Amino acid sequence: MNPHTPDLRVRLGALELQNPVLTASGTFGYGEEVADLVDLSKLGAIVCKTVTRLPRAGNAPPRTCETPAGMMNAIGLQNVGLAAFKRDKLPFLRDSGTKLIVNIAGDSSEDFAALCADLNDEEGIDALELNISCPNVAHGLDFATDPIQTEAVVKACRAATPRPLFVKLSPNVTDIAVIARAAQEGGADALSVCNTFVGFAIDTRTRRPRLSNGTGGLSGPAIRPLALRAVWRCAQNVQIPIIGIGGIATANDALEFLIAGASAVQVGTATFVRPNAALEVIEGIGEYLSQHEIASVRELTGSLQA
Amino acid sequence: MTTPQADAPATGRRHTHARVLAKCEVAPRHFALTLSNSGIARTVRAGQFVHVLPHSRENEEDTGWSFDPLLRRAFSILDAREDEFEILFRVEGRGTRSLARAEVGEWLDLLGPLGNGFSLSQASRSAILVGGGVGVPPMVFTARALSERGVESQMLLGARSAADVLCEDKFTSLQIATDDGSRGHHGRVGDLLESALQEQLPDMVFACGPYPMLRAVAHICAAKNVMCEVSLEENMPCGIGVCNGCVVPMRPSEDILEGDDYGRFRRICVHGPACDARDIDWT
Repeated sequence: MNPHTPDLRVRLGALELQNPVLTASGTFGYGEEVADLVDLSKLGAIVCKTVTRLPRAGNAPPRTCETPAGMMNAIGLQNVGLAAFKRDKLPFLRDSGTKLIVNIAGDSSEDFAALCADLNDEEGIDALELNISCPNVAHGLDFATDPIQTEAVVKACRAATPRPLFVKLSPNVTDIAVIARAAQEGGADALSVCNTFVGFAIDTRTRRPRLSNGTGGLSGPAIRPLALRAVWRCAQNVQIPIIGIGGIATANDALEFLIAGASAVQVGTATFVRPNAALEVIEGIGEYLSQHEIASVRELTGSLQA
Repeated sequence: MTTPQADAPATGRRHTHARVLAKCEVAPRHFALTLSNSGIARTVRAGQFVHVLPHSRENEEDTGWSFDPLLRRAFSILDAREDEFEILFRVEGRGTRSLARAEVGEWLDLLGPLGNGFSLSQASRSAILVGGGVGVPPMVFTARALSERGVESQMLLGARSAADVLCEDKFTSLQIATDDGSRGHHGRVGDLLESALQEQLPDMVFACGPYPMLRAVAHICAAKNVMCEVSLEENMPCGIGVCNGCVVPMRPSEDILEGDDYGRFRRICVHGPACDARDIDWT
């Protein structure tokens, strides 16, 4: 490999990506919404908005509010539902020029497994990400806060699909390592670490919550050190690859996650501010590797110095 | 059909930047910025908006970003001509305070033009424009665009007090209402609309302003069976249709099948901000 063109390819289980930067679920729609602004083919992969079996209206507004260096959301998994996803969204995503990871959420292990199975016949899906950690729907966190349920849901999905399974964990737990090990035990191919942090904000003028849902998920640069610590902790405790998520806006942010033990990263909230944030991160990682004469981005993973 | 309409983005939107050509404090805490960007100025339509990072930069090349305040702010267009356009905002929070500090010659990072704009073609002869507070500026652009189409428009302007009346010199036909009676009609701008509709029914009413005003306007128009478009506001993180944050509740319609309530909330960054007032669930 020419040292001047660093190798950005990474492997997540059986899935090889052209670079380690993905879009985080719920921050990139179904891809088509931003195809005029972002060259989708340059992304490591698209992780699309969570798909549930039936369409979901989501929560009433206001659904978002800004917080210091971040924002909270309580969208409530608004999505078109499985049938419309397959019919209306998948054809575009299939032809985006990059890999597709479909994020799914069910309300039971059986529902999760059935969703996996129902997608088996669809071409152009490279992996599934199990959203067991949405903080904004009833019982959304039940799985991700319980190692037994985590293992059970991953196991059920493992039996239902041959596709690589990524499991998206919640940071809203006492020790994320326990959940990470349970997901690995259940047969996960990689872990997405982590979803948003549950937060709360009050409008002091009205003394009401600023979100209609009351609580919301905190994201953005504000959570980056917290998420980084979660990734680092998981990396100490599992052998499967980790996809780092949480406040990544620049290449330097992404590098922190890779060094802490992530094999790839997802860019989320930053896309709201700069539609091309993920592509800027890819470019910056390449520049860093060139400057430091590192041949492959894979050498960075877990390269934290004592 | 259960499918929401295709997510066709606004045509010609881009991530770009604009130089601050002028800044003017037009009223206490209200600033107008004249911005240089021919791409936006030549394509933007009345009722569309730009999504602006609340940090100005000294250099065009500077692409660094500050993380606090994090999100862009949406502003409707006061007017556009040739290579420049104007926005007018009230200093409300950290973002607008930061923007009010932008200096002439500095650069703003922005996305635009975004949103759908008003359906001006629905008004063939006459229109009534209703604006309240910082909902007045987009009506300047709307009035001019209508006039260029040969459509007469009458502006009804609502403000808290005489000091808050914006852009009054920009309208040829204008009536004012203030909450405290310090200027024009003492009361709501909706009162002016009711009187105006007693005299003559226009083809269209276009409205922009605070939610209670829009709701009142929608009800008044519905009672008179006059077509009305309102320009809505909601917290809007992305402005480009991906975050699903800026939704408003829509009235149940025959388009939405039972058990499929995906369409109950619509994103106003792509399906708005201008919406047919009859489609909104005002409850």
